[in-house]
Amino acid sequence: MSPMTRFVNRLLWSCVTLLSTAVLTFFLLNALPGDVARVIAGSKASPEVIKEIHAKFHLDDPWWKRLGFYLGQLARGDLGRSYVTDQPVAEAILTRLPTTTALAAMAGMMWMVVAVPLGALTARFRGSRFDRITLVVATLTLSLPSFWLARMMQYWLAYKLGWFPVAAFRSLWHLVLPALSLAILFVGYYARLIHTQMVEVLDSPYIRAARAKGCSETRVLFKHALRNALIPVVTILGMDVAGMLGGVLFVENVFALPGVGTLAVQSVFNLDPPVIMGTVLFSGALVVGANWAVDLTYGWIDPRIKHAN
Amino acid sequence: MLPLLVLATALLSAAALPEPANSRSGGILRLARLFDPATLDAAKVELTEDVLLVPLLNQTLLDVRDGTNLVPNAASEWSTSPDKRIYHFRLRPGVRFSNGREVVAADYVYALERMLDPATACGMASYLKGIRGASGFTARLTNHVAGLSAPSRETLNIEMERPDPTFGFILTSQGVAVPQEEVARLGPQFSIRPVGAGPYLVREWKRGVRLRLARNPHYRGVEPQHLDGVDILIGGDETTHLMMFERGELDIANITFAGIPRPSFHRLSRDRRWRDLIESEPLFESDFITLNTEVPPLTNVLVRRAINHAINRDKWEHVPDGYATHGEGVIPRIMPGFNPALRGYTFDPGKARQLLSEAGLPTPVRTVLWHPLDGLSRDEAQGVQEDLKQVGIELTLKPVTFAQLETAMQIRHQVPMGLTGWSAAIPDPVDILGQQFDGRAVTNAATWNQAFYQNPEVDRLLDEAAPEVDLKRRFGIYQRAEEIIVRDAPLAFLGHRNMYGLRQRRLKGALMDSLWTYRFDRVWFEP
Repeated sequence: MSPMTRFVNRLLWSCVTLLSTAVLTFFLLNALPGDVARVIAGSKASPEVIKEIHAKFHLDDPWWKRLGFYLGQLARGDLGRSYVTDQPVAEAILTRLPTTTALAAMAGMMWMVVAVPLGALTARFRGSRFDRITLVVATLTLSLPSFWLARMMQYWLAYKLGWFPVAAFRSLWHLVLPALSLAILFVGYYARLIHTQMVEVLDSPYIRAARAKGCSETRVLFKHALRNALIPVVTILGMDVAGMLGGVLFVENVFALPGVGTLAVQSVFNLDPPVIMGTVLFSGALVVGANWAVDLTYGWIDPRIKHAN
Repeated sequence: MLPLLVLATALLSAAALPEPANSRSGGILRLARLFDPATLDAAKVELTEDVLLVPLLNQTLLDVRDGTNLVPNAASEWSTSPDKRIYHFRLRPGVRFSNGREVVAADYVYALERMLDPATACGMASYLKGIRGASGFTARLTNHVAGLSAPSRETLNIEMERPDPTFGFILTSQGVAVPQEEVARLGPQFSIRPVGAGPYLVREWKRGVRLRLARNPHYRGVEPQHLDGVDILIGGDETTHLMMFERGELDIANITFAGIPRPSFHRLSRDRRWRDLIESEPLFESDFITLNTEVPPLTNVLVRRAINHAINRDKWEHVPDGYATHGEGVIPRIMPGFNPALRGYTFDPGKARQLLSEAGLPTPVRTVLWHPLDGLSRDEAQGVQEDLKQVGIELTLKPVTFAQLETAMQIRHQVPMGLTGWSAAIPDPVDILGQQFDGRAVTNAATWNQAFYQNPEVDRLLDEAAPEVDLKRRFGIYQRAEEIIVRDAPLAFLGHRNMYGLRQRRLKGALMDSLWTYRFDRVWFEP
């Protein structure tokens, strides 16, 4: 299969994934009981007002017609407008994207800075007290639900000790605590994952050869072993993007951060279908994008994969 | 027409107005809310938290003090005909929109017609349907509401189809002038940067981040501009907001309808920093469980009465802790027309069992209770579930978002039991009884009569009471209707909510209000 065929194939499947997400979300929202017009105009709205809203948003049209209209909109790159605020959904997502990106990037950097050396060093010193303590702490952090951890960190480090702002987003400093609570959730897991891979790699003949050639232990660990150990880690990281989005959603809400997560939560509470569908589709696109990124990263981490492709 | 009117209401002079605060220290009032406002356009505002912004950005014709006293606002004088059918207003001279243009009577005519226009999607338009010609205008048979007129720049007349002694109260929230030229110029942006005559204007609204209000330089109103501005953080939850408040980052603890979260209330009421700053206000509100009279087994009045007897409502409403006031019916104790002699259902599980036995249904009787997702509602629903189980009724709980609950309950045969309530927009029984128990509203269209309750005698009494201007007689008719409703039990009557609020010590002024819950335009900082 030529690279172009493979690329087109991949692109096609990505489109199918996103289309299925859009259709599934559409049907799930349609299965919900209730009348969106009542949400827009409120419980005290008159029948005339309700009728007007039904007409405006085509709420009385058969489902297939509305689905067709929605998919047609999507094909034009239009996610529609919020029923509640009248804001274009794409604009709502894009204005909140920088906060979510900054939060995810900061959290990603934090866990990378901690998890990668921790995984490598515990592999190097496996069986030591340091390794065992790390294992216990990692298991603990794995078991913590994101909403609980975020709240506890907010309570102790911001509210009680005053080291951080309690909430809101006014500067990058306001992101440190939310990013930390998000990073902690992943540090333990990835440290153990890297540890397991490193243990395997460190027993490989080429590592023994490197040591025999007189390479320093740091060079052996971080240049020769780590690069190979990271391949499965990157795969899992790609698959974990969806899980991370779940964490982002909770953390953003606890810390009052104006990100895509808070937008998603708000849309659910407002029963605002265009925004719900928009944020779900956006999350789907992120997951698909992350998997593409993982494929590209493979080639960089392991040139053999690029050559084989 | 005006010379023929007999002035039934004394003209209120400025001397009768509440004395404004002497000290005006300025400062920015810092608040936080969960989500963005849906809109800032007063005509489209629906959510409780959004309604709180209306008096900051607009000046209504009349205002209300202490829940039931009408006072002049943008209208310096007002009067009604003896039959309460015609309302006459004289506007306060010099009132200006935030764009600098003077407010004239035609702005109110335009604003009220705009609200009545179904295209505006004004949720409160139904409160204006009593204006003469409103129904024809709404049905697009006419292009003007006959009952609205502005004979001069400063004179506004509103004629009702039939006498309505409560219409003045409606104008305390809906009587907002709107500049037509700005609506035309701004289009949908009017919802984001509305032009009003209130003490503040929108400086910045960054969605999901903050809403900033600054002083309206053209403001001329009864209430002084105490503050330099209002800064509203958007996002977070009640717990986060409370932490921010306690760390001095906010000036008022929780401005949601629920007030201070209950678990935190006990801690705060024991904390010497805060305990003397906690204040409470009874609301014009009724909590209840709607019993859908069209869904078995709730079609049987004996089952509905059994449910009422089975629920230890004072316990689940936390009446002993002061979170609610004990209720026998639906009209709150603070509302004019409240019937102190009304006796509803005592907590009596034995009686409930007996009624169920008389109903002849196989036990356990099974049904479903829908309730909102929040912790408070969940606890209450679980409490009710426990009580009903004791008498042989097995409840399945269905937690849904409030929006889902609200909309599902308006569809026939959808929700057997729904934990909900009603907040009155005006302090009169017509709001709470007339909307929910009118049997003629039960059609296949969405309805406020969420119990789908029908009783021709109640319909007759509601018709008789609505135009009655003799308040004693009016309230007497409503009380008779309420007695029948309580007997028929289309609801499980729970009680009437009180709200607790908490503010920083240096924030002064009348903050809490039974109708509005909070009034931010009346507070100021102690210098």
